[in-house]
Amino acid sequence: MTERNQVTTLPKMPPNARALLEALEQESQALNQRDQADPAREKLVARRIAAAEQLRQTGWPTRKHENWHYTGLTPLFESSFSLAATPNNDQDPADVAGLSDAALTPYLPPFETIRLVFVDGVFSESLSGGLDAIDDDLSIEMADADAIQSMTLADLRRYQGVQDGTRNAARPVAPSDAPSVDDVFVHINEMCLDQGLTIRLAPNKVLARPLQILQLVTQNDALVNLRVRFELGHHAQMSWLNQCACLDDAARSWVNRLQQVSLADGAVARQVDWQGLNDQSFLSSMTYVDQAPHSQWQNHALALGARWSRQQSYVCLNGEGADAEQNTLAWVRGQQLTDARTETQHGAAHCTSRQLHKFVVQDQGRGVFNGMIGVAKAAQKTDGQMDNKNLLLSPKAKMDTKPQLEIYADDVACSHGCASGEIDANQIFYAQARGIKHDEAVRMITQAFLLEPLESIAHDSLRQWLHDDLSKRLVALPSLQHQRDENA
Amino acid sequence: MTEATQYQEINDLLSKNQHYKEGFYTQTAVETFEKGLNETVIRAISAKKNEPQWMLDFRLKAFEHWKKMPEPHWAKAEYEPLDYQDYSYYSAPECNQCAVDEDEPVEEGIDPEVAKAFAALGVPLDGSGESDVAVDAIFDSVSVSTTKREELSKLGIIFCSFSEAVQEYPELVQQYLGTVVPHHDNYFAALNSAVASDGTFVYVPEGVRCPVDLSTYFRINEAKTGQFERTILIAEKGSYVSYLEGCSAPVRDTYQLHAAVVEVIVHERAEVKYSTVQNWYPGDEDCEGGILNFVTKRGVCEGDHAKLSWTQAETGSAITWKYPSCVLKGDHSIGEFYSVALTNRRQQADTGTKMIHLGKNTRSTIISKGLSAGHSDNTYRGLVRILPGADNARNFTQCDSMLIGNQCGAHTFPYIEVENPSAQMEHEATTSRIGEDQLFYCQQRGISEQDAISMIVNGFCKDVFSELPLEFAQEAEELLAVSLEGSVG
Repeated sequence: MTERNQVTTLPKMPPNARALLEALEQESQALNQRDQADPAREKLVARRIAAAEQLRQTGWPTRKHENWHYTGLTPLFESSFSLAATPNNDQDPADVAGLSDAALTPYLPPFETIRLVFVDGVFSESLSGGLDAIDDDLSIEMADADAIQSMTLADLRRYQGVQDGTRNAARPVAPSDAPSVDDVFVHINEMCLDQGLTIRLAPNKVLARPLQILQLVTQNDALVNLRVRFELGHHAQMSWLNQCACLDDAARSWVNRLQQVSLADGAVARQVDWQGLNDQSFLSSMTYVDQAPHSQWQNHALALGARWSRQQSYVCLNGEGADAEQNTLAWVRGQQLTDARTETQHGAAHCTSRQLHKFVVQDQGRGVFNGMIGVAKAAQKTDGQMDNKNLLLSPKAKMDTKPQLEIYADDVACSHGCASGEIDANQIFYAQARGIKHDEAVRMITQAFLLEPLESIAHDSLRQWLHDDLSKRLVALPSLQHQRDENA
Repeated sequence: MTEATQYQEINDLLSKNQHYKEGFYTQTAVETFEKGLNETVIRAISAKKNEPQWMLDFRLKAFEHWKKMPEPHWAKAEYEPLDYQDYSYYSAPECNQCAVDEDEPVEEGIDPEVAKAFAALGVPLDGSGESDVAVDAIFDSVSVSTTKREELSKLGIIFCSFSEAVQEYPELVQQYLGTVVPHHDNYFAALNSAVASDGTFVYVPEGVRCPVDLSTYFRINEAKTGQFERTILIAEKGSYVSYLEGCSAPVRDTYQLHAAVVEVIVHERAEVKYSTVQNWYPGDEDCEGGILNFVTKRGVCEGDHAKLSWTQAETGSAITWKYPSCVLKGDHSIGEFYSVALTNRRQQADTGTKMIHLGKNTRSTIISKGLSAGHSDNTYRGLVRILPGADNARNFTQCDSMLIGNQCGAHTFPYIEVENPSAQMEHEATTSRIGEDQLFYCQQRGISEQDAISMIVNGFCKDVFSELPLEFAQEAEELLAVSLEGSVG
């Protein structure tokens, strides 16, 4: 630290929070030291330093910050993290971690995909498959210096609301312009940027096979810092499946992922974002979607794991007739905190957005949903709808939701709905009267409730596979016997 | 500034503000404190009102706390920073003993000018007439008259100004003051606690059903004065009271501050209906000089089966920032919130409610209708919190917004916190505008565009207006029509 002339003093924070922040700074500096001799990475080093400085300025968010009121960072501070170790140049990370194909079995869908497997953020050729289907129209770039250099934050867009007395609601800004505490994970992503993945699909190309991006985490106390970018040419179509999983149930990790999706005119992108990290792990994820006219974005997020997770998506509908669908399925158990956030900014006329977010919360789980639909003055004829439904299964379960609308155009149809409650006793009785045991009835009803957001997945076998996987997991729905006794 | 020029200026302003008919100014001898806020001023206010030591202590404690608090700015509203030293914190009509004109049907001791002002506002101070309403009229910092007191006192109902209550019923005031809204609750509540001017005190004893509607009319008259009324309403076991509140202010060219605190305590099986028609001066076309209405209203359903119902029609003020809230402590208690908020020109409203469910089987209903026209911003912000002990709590929320014109904004920011699985809560929000087909339908049948809009808007607000007492409902409808004038075309 002494080498730098201008060092912002850190805002006041608890010792463990400071320790984590300083540990991250050290990781960033270690990367810079490694890269300082490499002229090709000169800019990257400068960007890391700038991001570290921004993190210093903002510090960590506290519950006093509007967007963090329900999502405390305390569990994160209780751990120490260092960047996941990367293997030496030519080694396959699977070999280093001692992984064989068998480890993949639970994550392989019963249909053909183009499978990209990453171990602790590093591409593993031996575990990947279906790569022969990659042709000239699909380009996949891994983290070489040039590729990462090009992954700047400059075109990230985030809605910032009405400012400076102007009434222009749609003001996407690059979060790097002025550091905001809402962007701490972006700053961290930038200051630890070392791995990246860019996927480009040529115009008019329809990719038949879905892409599967499997992120496996093996190391303990490791920060896996990911940067992924999708670029779809005009009228290109593709779908992909993101998976995040831990191979060691005892290892604690932190996945910090920043995704950028850029859709040209008429492009269609469908994402299934499956998250099944172990109960010790952390996930912070930001997805920025930029939509040109008549493009379509569909996202199905399945939040099943992690001790603490926060998945935020920023969708900017910048062109007329663009369409966005965002669904979430969250199953919150044990001590988990699951935070799902969407920010949908209608910046042009005739756009539609649909959202359905469903949470099942049990044990001492805590669910958080925050949705914002913003409609700019220019976005006449907007059709925006957001639904959030939550099922609370135990007395200690907690759900905090904030469905918001901010509207500056008059000819719009926007609505949001939100409901929380427990399973209707009549429904359970109905099932019991037909010879179905209480716990089985609860499981059936919960399952039916939870699977609804997945119904709009167009790929039949993918949907079926997710259904089956989830049904299997829900067998583990703990007996709710005690609760019934309490209620009786 | 001489009186003449002041008059001229006011008249000029008035001519620009035809839509605000309450915008006249009453010229009367007044005693107004020097501008500024410090401990001496607070002691002076207290001395002026001949207050006991405990009240002064309460004020000073609040003031000490207020000085340490940062001014909040989270509301979705923009305004020039307030200079708290640029307001006068006490103003009262001076002539308490002046001769009363024989013909004036006013109570003894009321300044005839003030009485005229209230008469012009449609608030009769003579207590006679066919009016079924008992009125407490508050003029700047003091209560000038409270009608039907005698009649009510026969039933044991105390209906008087807050200052009188401090003198006459100190134990009651001490028991309840600051219990619902503590002096440190928020910035403006702290300010209010420090410089509380006057307000209304209502006490309904056990088992009494108040035969008439109780009402308070607030009038800010002097320029550059803040009004900081403090209202306490206590409904003992099994009682019922319906309380109405109206307000207006003269047309001014500088912002005026109104920071009131209302505390409502509802005991077992009692019911309180609290209705407000807020028509503070909204300012000129750019909302310069309107009232800043930063109000803390909160009620607690202390006992089982208690019921508290807030109904509000908000049409005035440059900025409205208020959240009438219910703390549902008693089991089976009920909280209701019905609101119509209309903003036009450059008005900004950030209003809503808080429903805090503590007791078992508590229920709450929120119906909020927001209308934005002109260049205004209308925000619903509401909190529904269901705490772990609130088994079988139930909430229903419906927020509808309507946009009139394409220069305005309508926003909905609900906060929903559920910590009990047996709670059932639902929230719905929609945003729409007046359909062209609806307008066309009306116009085709010979109804002018303005009337058609008024009709459609009234239909939109019907759920809320039906909750208002009859006379108020009519007033609210008229207000809405007036406030909407010129919003189309």
